Amino acid sequence: MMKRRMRLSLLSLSLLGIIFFGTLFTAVSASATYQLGLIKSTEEYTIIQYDDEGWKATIDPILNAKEFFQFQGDANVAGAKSKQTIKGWVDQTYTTYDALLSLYFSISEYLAWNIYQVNFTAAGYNETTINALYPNTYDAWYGVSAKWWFTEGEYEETPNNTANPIIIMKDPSDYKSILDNCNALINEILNDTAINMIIKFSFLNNTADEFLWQLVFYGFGVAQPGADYLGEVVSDLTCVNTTASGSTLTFEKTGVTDYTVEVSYGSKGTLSTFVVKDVLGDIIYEITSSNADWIFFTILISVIACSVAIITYVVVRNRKLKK
Amino acid sequence: MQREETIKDGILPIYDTIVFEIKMQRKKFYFFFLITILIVALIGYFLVLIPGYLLSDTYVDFFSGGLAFIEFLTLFAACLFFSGIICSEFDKRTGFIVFPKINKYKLILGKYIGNLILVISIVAIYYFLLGLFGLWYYGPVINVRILYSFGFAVLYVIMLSSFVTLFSSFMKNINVTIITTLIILLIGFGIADQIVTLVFKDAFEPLYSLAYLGNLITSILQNPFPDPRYVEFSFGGMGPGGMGGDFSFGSWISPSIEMGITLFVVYIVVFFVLAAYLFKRRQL
Repeated sequence: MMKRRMRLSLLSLSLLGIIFFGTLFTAVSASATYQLGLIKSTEEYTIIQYDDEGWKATIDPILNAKEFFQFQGDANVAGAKSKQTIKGWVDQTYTTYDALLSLYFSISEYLAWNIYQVNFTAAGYNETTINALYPNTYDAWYGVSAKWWFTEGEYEETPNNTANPIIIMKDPSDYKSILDNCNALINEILNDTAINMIIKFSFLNNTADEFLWQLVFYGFGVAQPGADYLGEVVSDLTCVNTTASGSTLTFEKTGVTDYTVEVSYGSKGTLSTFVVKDVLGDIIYEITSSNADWIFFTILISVIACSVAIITYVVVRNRKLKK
Repeated sequence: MQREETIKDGILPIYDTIVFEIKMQRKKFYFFFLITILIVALIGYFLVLIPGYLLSDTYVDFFSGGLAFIEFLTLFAACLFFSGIICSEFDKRTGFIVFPKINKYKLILGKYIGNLILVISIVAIYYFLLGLFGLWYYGPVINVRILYSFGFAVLYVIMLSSFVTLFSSFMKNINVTIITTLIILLIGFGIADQIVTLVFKDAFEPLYSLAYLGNLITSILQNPFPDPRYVEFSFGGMGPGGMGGDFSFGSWISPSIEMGITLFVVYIVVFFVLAAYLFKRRQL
């Protein structure tokens, strides 16, 4: 009987040990680089300020905030809300060709690449040759989220986009490699006599600032610690008009007059606030985020407290009755 | 005044029986309570911890997925809680007492209501915990279809309990009642449904099946409600993925809402009337 108990205890200890060390090694291997902060949850975004006159006088007299940033829904209405539910993530390895198409190209360049694909293939620029020429691979966390566009009223029941990407490179210096390789490739194409001149007009090299600005709208996410990660991204890319301060990226841009865009990232690594300011520092456009975690924890704590109170009451009463 | 006392005398024994039955069955309740927490924690928390497991798009979809085990849970709970309501009286010979201290129908009613409160509490805890996890992932979203789903779950529990009570009215002991009802509800209806669907395809809806009626608990959450309610897949052909062949597999998804409610009520009434009749005959 004793031997059996000993065996059972040893078996339990071994199993616990395997789980414990497994967890420990996972943590150790992950802590060597940046950590992923994504959590499956919902973040709500609210446009708390939109000064239309200020916008027209500072940024663009024709396009409003919605059209300018290509935000969807009622993104040019103060008080409009949008939400994003992080559904999950996987490890993903990008090749240079993948990065070219999904991170480097603007939408118009992406469309042009697809339209003229036959010409590019004929000139020797296809997935295989590009990846052979630039053999780097880039490890990333690829998150998928459901997104409800900005709306003044109630949200629709189903999201407007069920596969909205969140892309976080595990190594922030990979952004620099992607930019350099893609710029080199585009240079090569622009200098290639086999490619028609009309096609060449559709493609341009990106500066580091342009590339980072574009990434913000392509689902750029931040690994933790966010301040270090953003600092490294900006310094590696050697941005000229973009700075990182804490978990905030500040883009200095010029429209009708000069203005700045401050993009902050929260502890989950996703967009937290988006603020557009004029040269005087007055806010023209502001989006903030919030979540309902506190409601969940309030209810949870209340339920646990009530349960403990009931159990204590029952135990005390039973003891008194026994006495 | 006298009328009030008569009503009080009529209700008090039932109330006392309910309280007594709840105390008697509390260990079963604790067991199911723990199982419920375990199931909801596994579905709503531990499974979601896996990064590659994609969370559903909406709160309602999450709820619908989380309710996958509610039919099993209610089925087992109904069999274990209600199997002894009538047959235990005869198994322990209390049903044969000629001059009982309490009216036997009041006793059975009290026992039934006591157990029903416990099982509905388990279902409510299941919904509450799932709702709490949903709140965590999706924020405060109110959808009336979740309340409808809970309503159908309660109706389903009452129907199952009436079915088990019917068996309890003529079976000899609790264990035989549990095993018989479990076999019929878990395996019997499933096999019958498959045979009927295979033979009759869309010509005959398996409305006799209690398990099929239980599908309403989750299908009510879908927006729009499933239409058509019968789907058929063909394979072995030349279409994409081998589709379009002569082999086919059909399945009834859910009864219509109106038919479902009607059948729930009809089955509940029929099973209770039969149980009362058999109980009365058994006493003679």
